This record gives sequence, C-alpha cells and structure tokens, in this order.
Amino acid sequence: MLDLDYRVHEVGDVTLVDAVVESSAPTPRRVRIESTLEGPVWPPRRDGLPERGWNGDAFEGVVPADGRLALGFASPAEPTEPPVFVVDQERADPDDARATLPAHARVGANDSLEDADDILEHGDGIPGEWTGISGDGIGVDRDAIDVHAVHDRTPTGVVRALGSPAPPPDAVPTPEGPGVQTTPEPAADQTAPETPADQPTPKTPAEQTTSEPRPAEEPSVGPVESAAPGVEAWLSAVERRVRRAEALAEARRVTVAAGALERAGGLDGARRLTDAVERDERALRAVADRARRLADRAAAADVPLSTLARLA
Amino acid sequence: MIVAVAGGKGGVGKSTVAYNLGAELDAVVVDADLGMADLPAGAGPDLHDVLAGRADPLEAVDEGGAVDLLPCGRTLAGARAADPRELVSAVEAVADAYGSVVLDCPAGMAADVGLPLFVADLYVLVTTPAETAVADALRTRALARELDAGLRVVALNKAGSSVAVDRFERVFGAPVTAIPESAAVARAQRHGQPVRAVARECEAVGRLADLAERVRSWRSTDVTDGSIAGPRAEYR
Repeated sequence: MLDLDYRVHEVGDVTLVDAVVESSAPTPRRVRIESTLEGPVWPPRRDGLPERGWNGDAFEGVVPADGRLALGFASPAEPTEPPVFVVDQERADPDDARATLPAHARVGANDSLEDADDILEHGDGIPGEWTGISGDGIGVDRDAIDVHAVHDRTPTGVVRALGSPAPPPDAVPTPEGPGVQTTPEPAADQTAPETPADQPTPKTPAEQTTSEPRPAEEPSVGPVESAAPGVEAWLSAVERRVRRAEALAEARRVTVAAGALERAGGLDGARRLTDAVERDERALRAVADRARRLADRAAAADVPLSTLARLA
Repeated sequence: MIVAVAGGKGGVGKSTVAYNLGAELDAVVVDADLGMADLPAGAGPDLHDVLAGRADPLEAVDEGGAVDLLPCGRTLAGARAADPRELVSAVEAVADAYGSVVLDCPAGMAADVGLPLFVADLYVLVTTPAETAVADALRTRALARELDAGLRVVALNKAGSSVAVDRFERVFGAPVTAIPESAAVARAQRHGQPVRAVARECEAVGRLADLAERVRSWRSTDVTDGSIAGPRAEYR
C-alpha cells in the first residue's frame, strides 16, 4: 500500500535526504517518518522555524489517496541505507484539519531540498538548522514574521522594497528657519573660512550683519518640543548662544567682527558668551549621555505581558 | 570582507559588539545608523557627508582613534539630505581600500537595516537572551536571508553564566558565542576604547576574540568555494 523511495546526497560535510511516500490506498494515510541517520535532523525552515509537519527528528504528514507525500532534510551525519523509514501509519481522519498539509509538503521534494540548499547557499555558520524550537520555551509566532520580498537586487530596489531609512521631513527641526539644508553662496569678495563639511552650513558673516528676520526668535519645530516645552526653550536659548559664538568665530573682517562684537555686548560680553557656551556644551553632553542611557534602558526593559496576563 | 552587525531590537549591544569586532579584525567600523549615531564622532566629515556627495568615503574614515571609524552624522537634517543608497558604493570603497569593514546596523527590521545587510557578505546577529530580543533577531534573520546576507555567528550578549548556549544554537541554527554582561565592556565603550584595551583579563575579551575568529574564518568556507558550488550545481 505504501511505497517509500528516497535519495541521499552528500554536499560538503552535509548529508541531504529526500524521500517520497507513494500510496496506492483508496483513503488518505497518516504516516510518521523518522531518520535513521546517527546525528541531528535539520528540517527545512522558514523564518527560523521548522516547516509544518516536523516535530523533533520525525516528520508526520498525510499521504493522499493514490497520491504522494514528499519531504527532505539535511544532517551533519554520515549517510545510511535507508536514510528514513516509516515508523507508523494509520488511516487519516478526513475531518482532521491536520490532514491538509501545505502545498510544499505535498509536492515538496524539491522545495525541501531547495531549502536545504538555501541554507548552504546563505552560508549560515552551521550549514543547516536544528529543530526543537517548540520544546525550548522560546515561543515565536511564525505568522508574525513577515518579510518584505526584495525582487530588485540593487540599492534602489532595496529602498523601494523596504522604504528609506532617512527620517521623515517633519522630524527634522528647522532652528535656522527655511533653508537649513541649502548652501548660501558666499559673497564674491568673501574669503569664507573653511568650515568642516559636516557642519550645517552657517550663514556667512555678511548675511549675519545685514539684518534679516531674526531666525533665533523663530520657534523651533521638532520632536523635543511636543515632549517638553521647558527642554525646547532651553535648547532654543543654547542655540541662540551658539549661533552668536559661531558668528564671532567666523568674523574675520573688521567691520563684520565689529558688528558681531557689538551684538555680543563688547569684549566682556564675548567672554561671558564663551563661558556660557562652554557650560552649555558640558550640559548638552551630560544630557545626551543620560538620554542615551535612558533610551537603552527603555529599549531593554521587557515587560513580560503574556506572563503577567497569565498571572493576573 | 564586509560584516554587518545586526539585531532587531535596540539596546542589545550591537554597537559595542561592532566596535570590538572592528578592533579584533583591524577593520573600519562604519556607523550605519543614519537616524541616530551610536559610535563616537570626531570633527571630520562623516557618513552623512559621504552619502550627500560632499566627501569621499575614504577621507571620512577617522584613523585617529583606537579603532578606525567612519562615523555617522548626528543631525536629522544631515540624515535627511543623505542618499541612503550611496551607502553601498561607499562601504565597498572602504572595504577595497582597508580590507575589512564592520557595519554597525541600526535597530529595526526593514528600511533601516536593509541596505547594510544588502551590502554585507555576512553578518553577526546580536541579541540578548530575552524573548522579545530573540523574536526580533529572528525577524532580522529572515530579512537578511531575503537580502542574501549569510548568518555567521550569533552574539548572545549580556548572557548570564547559566545561559544554555545550545538551546540558542537550535533556535538560530547557527553557532552562538555568549558574551557576559560586564562593567568593563560598558566602561570601555564609554571611553571609546575596545574592551581589550581596558581590561585584558575580562572574560568578555576572550569571547569577543572567539567571535572575531569565527568571522575571520569565513573566507576559508566562502560559499562561492567550488567544493560546495560544484555538487550543488550538479544536483540541480
């Protein structure tokens, strides 16, 4: 009634087994198939989980009436003859939901072995995978793993399939007002000092002196603002001081320097500004450190909701 | 060799592993977290400048620290102006010039980590033993497969002494190196030093060296090697 056919391949240090159970019975048969290899069985996996039908080292499935059931797995063990045998069989309950196997398990000889190939091809450290996730207390919902397919294997294709990692435009604060990302052209006679390329382009001294709408007074729009108005006010104040310090640092021409110095409140004012900016820097770095540590702790704080729900 | 250091969840220690792996492999560590840089940055051009076409990838490599580093920018505006797709050619250029690159990937399961995994030859998956971290790591792993990045080794970070490594090896289907929680590791990272520079006798140092050895040996078992490609082609 049941006919077992199999193939064994050795690929590197790995043994690949595929098998087909053919039934001539008039009704579906539930079969349990086990490996005879002296080593672990690596069933095909999707998203880190064994394919349906695998439980430990055994595969269980239903052979349709007058039909075939195929399976495959890999193992680090030496090949044996035969590599698999049918340990159990019974008439399948047609109402048994388990009688319906996914397509790849029904016709899956190639699927299964392709999965084994897949594992080799992807260079996973151990060329194959072990089963037993269900018995290990690490429950992962198979359906929760939903991977975007990336068909176009180019950088553009990856971005198209997965989205851009750049932050959304409305997450970008605009403390400088419009044009924070644009590069103002230096005036022709301006020997603009070399600025590090990574700095947001500061306004040139010429633009600083020709009075324009005071950008410092514009409210900043950023994620911080909604979180804490006090923090936003403090950051805005720091920003104003840093901008004044930058203007002084960039002022190379006498007339420009004079204007900047005047706005800073003379030499004394410039000294006070320098001290204040230094204090600002220390405070900012301390806040940044604390914020980062808090963010790490926030990320690491795993509330075991499901466990709590059971206990409640 | 381009090695990505990835893991779905934030706070599992990706940057620490990446930085120390870079030290062990004498590689350039690229901070590929466009939105929120984790590794210390100097005053020179950074990844945002490179991705915006304002700087050459090689001139953005900072060789002044304990580990060669290509820092990311720290401003959202800079991240916004950068073309993330340029990451691929930039990282390849650095790998050509320096030999090895370690990519410190951002947390996340899709857009953030897609391009780093795409350009990587292989990757190290970082997780803690916590169930949520493992679940996210498995998602990252599924995405890495889609992008043809091979999982080389799992760094089980902040692992207690009683952690069952074999259990995690079964879950991930890959070798697992457990890295114990260590004050020295955190202290070293704060000071921008690899942990071996501040606490040579610390257990974590040995484990990080093991991790690096597993990554380093990748070349010899490269899947493009004929001994594996041959029979498989024949089988098909």
